[in-house]
Amino acid sequence: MVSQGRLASRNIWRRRELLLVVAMAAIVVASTLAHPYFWSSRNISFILADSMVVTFLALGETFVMLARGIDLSVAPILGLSAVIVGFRAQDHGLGLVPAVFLGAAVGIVLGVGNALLVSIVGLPPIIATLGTLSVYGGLQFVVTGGRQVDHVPTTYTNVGTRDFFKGVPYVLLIGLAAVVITAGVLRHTPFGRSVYAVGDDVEAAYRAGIPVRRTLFLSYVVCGFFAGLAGVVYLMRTGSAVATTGTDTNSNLLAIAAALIGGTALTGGRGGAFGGLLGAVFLSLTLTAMVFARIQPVWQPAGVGVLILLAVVFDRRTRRGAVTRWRRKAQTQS
Amino acid sequence: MADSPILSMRGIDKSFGAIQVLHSVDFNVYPGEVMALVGDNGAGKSTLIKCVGGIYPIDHGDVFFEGTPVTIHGPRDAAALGIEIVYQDLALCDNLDIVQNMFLGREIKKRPFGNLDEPAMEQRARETLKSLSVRTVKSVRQVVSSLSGGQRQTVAIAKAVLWNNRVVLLDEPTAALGVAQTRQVLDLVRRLAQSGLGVVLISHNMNDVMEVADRITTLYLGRVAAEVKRADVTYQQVVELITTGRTGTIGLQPATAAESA
Repeated sequence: MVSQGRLASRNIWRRRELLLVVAMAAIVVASTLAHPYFWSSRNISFILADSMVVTFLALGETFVMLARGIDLSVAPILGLSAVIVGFRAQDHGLGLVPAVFLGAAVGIVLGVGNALLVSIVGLPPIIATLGTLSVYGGLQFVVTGGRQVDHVPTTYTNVGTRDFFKGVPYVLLIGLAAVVITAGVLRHTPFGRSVYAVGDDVEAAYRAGIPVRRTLFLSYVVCGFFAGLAGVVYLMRTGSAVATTGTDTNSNLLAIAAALIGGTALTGGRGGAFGGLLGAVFLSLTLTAMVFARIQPVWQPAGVGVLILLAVVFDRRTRRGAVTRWRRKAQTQS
Repeated sequence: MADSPILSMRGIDKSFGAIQVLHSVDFNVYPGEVMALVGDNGAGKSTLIKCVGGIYPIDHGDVFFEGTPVTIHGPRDAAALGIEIVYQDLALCDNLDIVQNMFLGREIKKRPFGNLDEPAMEQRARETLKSLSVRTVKSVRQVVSSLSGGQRQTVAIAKAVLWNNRVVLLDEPTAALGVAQTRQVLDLVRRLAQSGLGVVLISHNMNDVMEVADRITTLYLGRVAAEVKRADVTYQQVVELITTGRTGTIGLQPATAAESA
């Protein structure tokens, strides 16, 4: 049965999705007109493959943001996963499948750290994960101990750099599978429903009998899990990992930016998995287009920052922030 | 009318820090009846129902459900007994639709993966609204943020009915509503009682109370002034019980009333 309200409930970010697709099409057309090479299977494949690390991070970030939280430690989780898996692969020839499990395990353990701080100790997410950002980032130096990963088996980089079909890289398929599964979990399981409810109204969720602590706990563990997987994808893409992997590419910012651009609100309860994918591809596309437009790479972080601000400014409900609340309060009191 | 209560609370004490909000409160709910819980602001009405719902733990006192002693440690315990509270602020999630809200925390799952059975939930939500003769809601897939106050109240009450609950507590269900919507909600309250539920109605509006209640419990500064049958008292007497804790021979002893004040 097709239900009308279902459409209505997604109207807000349907419009955003449409806007994003139009913007991406415009960027592609403009860049291709300037440089025909932009619309080559090779370049398109690169853009898509390059967005996959951020996609995985954004998927995890989507869970915590839907639950009205944030995770600032996905970058070092990615990094730790990449160096731990990377050393096993480089020194002991760890296979691809065990590598995925190891990366996921590393992510889950580190995610549990965040989950404990947020849902059991009760720290504000931004403080808790700012702390673990430093702790996990520091551990990355301890684990690498001055060494680096620079020659993983070619099975890794083959998956990370080859195309399944012209313009369709293998990692894109992996990423798409992850997005579809995540969307299914968010939309069609009680856990997913709980995440939306907790993010919208903790009190209402609690009164409805939702285990609020468990939901928060799990969302940070899931976030860690995806960041751990992102580490393995990073390894496949680059074949290398160092003590600063993750943090040096501003992965935290990119992950949050992708989720935000894709329509997942910082205020919780709105958004979804496909938004994360769209946001990540949009970022990758924009950054590549900036290179084609001969904008110096030093401008990239500033560009990402502007995109985040735009994404937030276009979200009317987020703008109903402090100033508006204060204004309304002043009105009712006078 | 049944004379043995389905839910009975005896000697309930509740303090917040140094402030004792409930003093040895006795409170009964009878099946098939509407029990109105009335009292002035700060008399302890909301505290009492939050104790019933497991939101606040009680300090002392006993709770009996169908004559058996029970303990309620949280909303889940209350829900397991079949006690449902419809709060004044409704506690619905704005970002979810009517069906999603009605089944929140208790979704119907499909085998073998445990994914949500949306058609089944949609169907039951429709049936429930129909059984309550609700005609004000166009689609059960409307998002709650798009509903009016009366519609939200209806959804919140329907949610309480959905679970074959035994006791439904309504906290000021008509406070924010216009005339027509109040009418609908009061009819709904009567229908709930007719279907055999124990209904508790908390209200400031004496007209509502005198119209739909079978019995009335008045709270005065954290004590029960009286539990009376509506037929036995007048409007004026109820108002006196609320404002002074006694009326004629009914109510608190003058000394007790004065001590509470």
